Amino acid sequence: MIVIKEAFIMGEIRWERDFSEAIKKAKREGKPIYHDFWFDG
Amino acid sequence: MNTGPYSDQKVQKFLEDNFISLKTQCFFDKPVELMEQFIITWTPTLLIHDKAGREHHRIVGYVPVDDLLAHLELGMAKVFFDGNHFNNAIQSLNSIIDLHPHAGVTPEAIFYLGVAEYKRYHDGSGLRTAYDTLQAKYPGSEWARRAEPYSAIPAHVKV
Repeated sequence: MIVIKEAFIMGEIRWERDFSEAIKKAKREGKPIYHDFWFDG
Repeated sequence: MNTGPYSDQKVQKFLEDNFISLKTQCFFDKPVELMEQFIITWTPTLLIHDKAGREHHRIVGYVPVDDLLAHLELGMAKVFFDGNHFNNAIQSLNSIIDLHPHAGVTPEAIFYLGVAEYKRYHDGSGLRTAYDTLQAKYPGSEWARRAEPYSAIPAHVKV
């Protein structure tokens, strides 16, 4: 199992991959976090 | 991965303007730590966290564009509400009611609007208005039933 933690852009949405990084960014920008748990099945 | 609602420009703009977006891939044969931390047992599961990472709203299962936009706004409203930022919560809840009248969460938004107005203004008329609105527009909803105790509040009278 490989878990990729680098942020990426898909469509017009910038997606974070790491929860800790998302929290840091949320605090910096004063925004809440939208967290999508997905399964590639 | 970017199919469905994420291909919609309104969803893209709303997420970019208002949220830090985060994806966590789930493996059910070997759950990742965040799956266990947030008890994720089905996908998609969509959470709204505050900036400290605390969960305020959860969506389980696929939701189409209009419902997702309403859920996103409701998640923001709950973050504001739970943080006692009632003016911002009221603004978000009114947006749901105005822009997404047919979304599944709109009756919940009306209920929370009444509570947020009560907590902001210490005036029970907001609760009574929530009851009246739910009875008029969404009489079969659970949220209309939850608001039934507020029917005892006289309209336009402070309590």
